[in-house]
Amino acid sequence: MRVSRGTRLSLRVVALGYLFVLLAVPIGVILWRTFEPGLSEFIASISTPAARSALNLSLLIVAITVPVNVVFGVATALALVRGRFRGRGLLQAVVDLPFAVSPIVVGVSLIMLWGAGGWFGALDRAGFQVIFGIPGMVLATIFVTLPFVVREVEPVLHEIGQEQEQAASTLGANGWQTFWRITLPAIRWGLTYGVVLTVARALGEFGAVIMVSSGFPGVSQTLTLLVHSRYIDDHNTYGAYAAATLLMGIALVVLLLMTLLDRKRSDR
Amino acid sequence: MTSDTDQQRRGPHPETDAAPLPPRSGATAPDGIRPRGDDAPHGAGSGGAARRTRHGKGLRGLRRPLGIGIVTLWLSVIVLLPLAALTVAAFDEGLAGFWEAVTAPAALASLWVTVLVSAVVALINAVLGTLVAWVLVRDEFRGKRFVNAVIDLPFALPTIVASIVLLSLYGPNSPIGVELNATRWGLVVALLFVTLPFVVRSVQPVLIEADREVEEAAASLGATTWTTFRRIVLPTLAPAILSGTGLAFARAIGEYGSVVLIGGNIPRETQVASQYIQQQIEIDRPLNAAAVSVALLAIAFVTLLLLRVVSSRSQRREERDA
Amino acid sequence: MITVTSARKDYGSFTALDDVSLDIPSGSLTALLGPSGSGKSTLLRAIAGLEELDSGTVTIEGRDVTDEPPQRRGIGFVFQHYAAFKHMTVRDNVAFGLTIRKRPKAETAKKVDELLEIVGLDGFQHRYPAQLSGGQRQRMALARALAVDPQVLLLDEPFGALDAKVRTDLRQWLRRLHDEVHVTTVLVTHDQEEALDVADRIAVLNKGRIEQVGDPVTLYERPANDFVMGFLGSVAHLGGQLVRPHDIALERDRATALALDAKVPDSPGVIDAVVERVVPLGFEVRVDLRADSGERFAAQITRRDAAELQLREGETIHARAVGRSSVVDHDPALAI
Repeated sequence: MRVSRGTRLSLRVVALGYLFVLLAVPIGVILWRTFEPGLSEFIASISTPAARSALNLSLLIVAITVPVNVVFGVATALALVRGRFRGRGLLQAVVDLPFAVSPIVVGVSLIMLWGAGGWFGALDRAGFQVIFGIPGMVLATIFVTLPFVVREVEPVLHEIGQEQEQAASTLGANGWQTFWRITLPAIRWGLTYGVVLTVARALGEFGAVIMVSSGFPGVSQTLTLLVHSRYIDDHNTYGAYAAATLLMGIALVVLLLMTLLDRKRSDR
Repeated sequence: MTSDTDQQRRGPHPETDAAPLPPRSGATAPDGIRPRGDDAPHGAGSGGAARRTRHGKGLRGLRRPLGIGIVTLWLSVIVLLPLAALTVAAFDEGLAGFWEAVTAPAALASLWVTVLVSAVVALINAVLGTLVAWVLVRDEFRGKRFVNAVIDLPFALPTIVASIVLLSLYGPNSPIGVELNATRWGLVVALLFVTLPFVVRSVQPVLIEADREVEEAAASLGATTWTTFRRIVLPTLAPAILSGTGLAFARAIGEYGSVVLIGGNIPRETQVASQYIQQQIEIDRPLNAAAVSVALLAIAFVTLLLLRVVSSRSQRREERDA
Repeated sequence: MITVTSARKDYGSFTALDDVSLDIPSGSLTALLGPSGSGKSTLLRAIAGLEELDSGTVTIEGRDVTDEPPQRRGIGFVFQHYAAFKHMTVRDNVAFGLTIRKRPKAETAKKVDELLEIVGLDGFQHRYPAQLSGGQRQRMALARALAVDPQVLLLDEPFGALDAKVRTDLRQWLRRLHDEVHVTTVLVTHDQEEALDVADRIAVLNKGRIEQVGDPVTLYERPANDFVMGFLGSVAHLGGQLVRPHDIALERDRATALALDAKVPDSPGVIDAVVERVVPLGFEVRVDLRADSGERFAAQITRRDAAELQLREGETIHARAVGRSSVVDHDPALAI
């Protein structure tokens, strides 16, 4: 389709203008508002005790979620790709389910299952608090991040096929040796990509986590909850901007990693 | 060489999973639904689908009842049981109770606002997303790669950050004098922000793959640029636009973090379903929360189901043509 | 010695192996030859333990390995598509089996260097498989399989993915390698020329059954049935019999033809045929003929014979069968 120069330019202006207004300007404004009072102000704001503990809690949740997702994600992907069993299509659908469920609905569902009045309420009454405790926040995070590792590892497993694994077994490797030396290295970039996505989502999850958190500053606030509570409860707009900028910095690193990894994956 | 031989070994895979969607480029959303497509399985390895092959114990375990049992148990505890508990809670007082909760004026209003705003967002995405994709594929300008990378930003950014970011510009004391907070337009802007990548990333690869000779042929037959676009380009892109739009819609109706600050949460005005649900939990009305949650889930599922039906139909048409 | 007894394998309604029994002598280079879907690959993979048999047993050097996983069978396996470990260098690929067995580093290094020299890949130690050609990759895969000193070496269409020239070179190289190393080797192929070229024993498979086992000469000269005859070389239909094209003699004079034919027992007789085309093939000449019955067949004769006959297209000639390459036990059900 040959487009006249005029049309081309005006389309370009509209597209870039849209992106500018929607993305660039707001991000520019928040950066400006964050750093206008000076870098020391920013650092002070993100190193208050509440902010530190929020960062720690966020990292703790990531530290639990990632290994759990890696182990079960890879196991699920292997079962889905290599397994021949009835109900596999159903399992596929269940893995995709978290993509279709609103974070708030995730939170409500967890309350209905693990909350004091829920199916597993006995646990709560026995003193093991899931909802309004860290276990609930971890469960919520695992729910929303569950598909990432599976969906990134699955296509790689399909692509490499089974010959390399079979070759390893004919050379004397047992199942574990084959997994560690052949399968794992082959899926490493896909797995890493899945982990990066998991980390990003785990750090950034808000809706599902706020539903199951008691939200006490310094105790059960993650970074995203901190942004929210500073803005809504403390009317500390600057503090919210600063915390949001911190999260944005993390997101940018993630984006960069995604781009690099994507290149790496396609090189393979 | 490798890729050639690998291709030969790999037949089409029978159990292509949820893959009504166009191939994805680099984008994968760490937040919510995302465009996906070519990650659908290509095919089994060398052994072929029917072959029962064997390995060492570790891997074999995953194909035996024990491994599959563990995986199923895991998915059940994490995903299925909570959703089952939710559904049961929604019908705690029978169908009538569910219906009453969903049709309560405030609930109905929040669902209506959600669907209305999401539909507007989806439509704007369909038009502007396609336009952005077109510019990114067919236009050449300095900094194009950078702009292309920036498209994924809303996927990488936590939703609450999106909320704050937009608030800093369009909120109280707006530096440009545009205050959108606590209006429906505020919701629209917030949702446009978080759903930006869907249409762009599903249209882009199709546009790259599109056969330009067909367009040139149309032009050589005397078609104007507009006619060529309408009759040739648009039909090619339609499935991708539709799927991107549908995914954006599905994401928008469930969205919470990005609208929670800018929306204002005014009942019947800007309160969306997810905010209503959250509020009902806070005032200890679990039945209402669960019922509206189920309604929201149902809307999302129906949207995704429709998408799948439409895309598989258009795919079949293409295959018949081919 | 590898012994397969009453092996059976079904994939749903498809029978890949139908009660197959086969002995493969130690030190031999045996080819499993057959068309695709004949079960030859399944048989090889069953020997390797990569497929589980539905019933039947496999023993290797007297040891029943039917229920042993591949890693405990003492085999080396080479795949058609190399199955190179893409994330490892050539050296690490070849060393893999020794590393798994936790051999001392020095011993491993020495062995790897030796093998790489044998397969002509010394100097390529630090390359990755992606940096090698197909032929080099397959030689690496061979070195990798040989590194663990397997009791048997199993090759599944090892040259199938390579182009013609490399394929010929590699199979002669494999033949020489086998003469040096003397490891019991089983090779799966659908290419009869390849089987005749490298193997000292050939088992012909068809539809999950073994049609005939023997040395190349026996199989070529005394095929057990029409299938084997047809699969191991080109054939011509002459008077209702299958004859190799170079076992057809052409005579100008009908009486001479009849007299000579009378000395050949069970011959199909003398067939009058019209010369349709004369195609020079180098040392030989192929003559395309049409019998009175309308049946077309080809004869392959030497250049000198062709020159003496002074064949012209369109004229009638008298064809007769010579030599003894007809089917031993004629079974019309197997006729192709």
